Amino acid sequence: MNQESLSMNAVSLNQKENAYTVSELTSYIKELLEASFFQIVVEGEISNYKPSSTGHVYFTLKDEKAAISAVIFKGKMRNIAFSPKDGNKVRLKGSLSVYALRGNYQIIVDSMEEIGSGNILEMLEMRKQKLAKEGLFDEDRKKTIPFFPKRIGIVTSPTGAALQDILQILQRRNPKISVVILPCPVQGSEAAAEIAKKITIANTHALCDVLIVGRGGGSLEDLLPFSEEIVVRAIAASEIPVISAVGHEIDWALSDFAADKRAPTPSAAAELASPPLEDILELLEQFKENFERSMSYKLDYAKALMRSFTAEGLEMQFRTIEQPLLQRFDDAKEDLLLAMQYHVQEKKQALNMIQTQLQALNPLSVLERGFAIVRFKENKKTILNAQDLKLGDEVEILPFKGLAEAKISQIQKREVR
Amino acid sequence: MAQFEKQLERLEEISASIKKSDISMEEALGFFEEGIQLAKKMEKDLEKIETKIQVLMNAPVRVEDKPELDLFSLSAN
Repeated sequence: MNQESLSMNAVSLNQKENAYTVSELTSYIKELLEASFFQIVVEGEISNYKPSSTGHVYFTLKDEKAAISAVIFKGKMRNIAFSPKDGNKVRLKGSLSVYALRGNYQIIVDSMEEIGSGNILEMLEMRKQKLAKEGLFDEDRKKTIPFFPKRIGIVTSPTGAALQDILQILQRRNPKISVVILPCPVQGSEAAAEIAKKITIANTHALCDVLIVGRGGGSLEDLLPFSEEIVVRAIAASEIPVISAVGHEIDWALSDFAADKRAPTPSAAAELASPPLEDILELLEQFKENFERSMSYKLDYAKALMRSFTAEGLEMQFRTIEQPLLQRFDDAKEDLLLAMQYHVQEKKQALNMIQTQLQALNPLSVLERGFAIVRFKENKKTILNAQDLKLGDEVEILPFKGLAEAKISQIQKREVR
Repeated sequence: MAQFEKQLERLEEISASIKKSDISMEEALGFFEEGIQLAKKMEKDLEKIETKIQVLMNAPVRVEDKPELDLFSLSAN
């Protein structure tokens, strides 16, 4: 049918006497091509894969001898079950479209599937199992990545973005780490042997403390050298700890399994290999503070212990022993005094009482109260009973003071109660 | 820098030892001096490090050849 319509149009073009305008010509071409290549199936390799900000994706489909532009509109992306990348071999279904304004043509993709990689994955899986059986991926083979390497070796392409990323991150995080670049191709037929050789050279000449082996993102085929046996074996044999950093996070290679550490990206590998200088300095500072704090604590404690042995401290200690003894002594003294005083007081009182009693017995004290003693002048005997007297007896009267003489002129009886 | 890691380990040991309550003052002082000196030495060592970014130049290269290293700069590429 295409043949027929083509010849029909050709006839009509030839019969036209005047020249075509560009629009007319393009319009014919558009009609011709779009009708002829509607809903076709094409196989090729993706290259220059470019998602745009609008959500549409542009790329070139190519084989060894030719290339054609292609576009997947945003809405059609859901028909695609894998993440297309440069280098993917694909089979796509779509229609040819001519863009009149630019005079070019492209395939508008309806759906697309990956071809060929199924075989690669199968091959990789078999190789992985074989190498695993040999023990190359065993956990107990893994070496520790040094905390602070002095020199990092990088086995990668000297012109790749991966190297730039790694160097930038190392410079930013820790400018005290040196770098040795072991340049090698990272894709193509010679890559694997070169990568393996550079790993061996780094070991033979002890060029670094840790090795980063890797490259940036690429198609499954591009990453294949890192899955080659020779590379996997070189990594497994490396005395220097190896960080494998192949492609993006979703990518992998068998080198990841043999390496001592797998980094999701080259940038991540740089981070794994380099402790931030700031953190290290901070750590050292903390240690110093720590030591000083511990020591001053110890010294304070010792000083506190020694304080009790200074003159002052000893005096204080002696006081604490002496104090209760002094107290007891004081108390005893006090008790003694009190007891003595009590005793003396008692005696004094007794004495007073006797004195008062004596006072009462003293005849003078009676006289003091106005009584008087009457006695015979002759024999000085006190007259107790008037009956002993006779009229005319001479008596002496002794009041409190002085002495009087008298003659008895009358005598009477008086009852004594 | 295996040396550096060993030194870090030593700092950790010292830090643990000096905190123990049953060590003598002499021992504590010994640890303290060693620790402070080691930390200061490590800081000085860090300061002194001069770094280089080099690239292996030999091409073609055999494993046993003595590596020729040259300074590498991104701009040169």
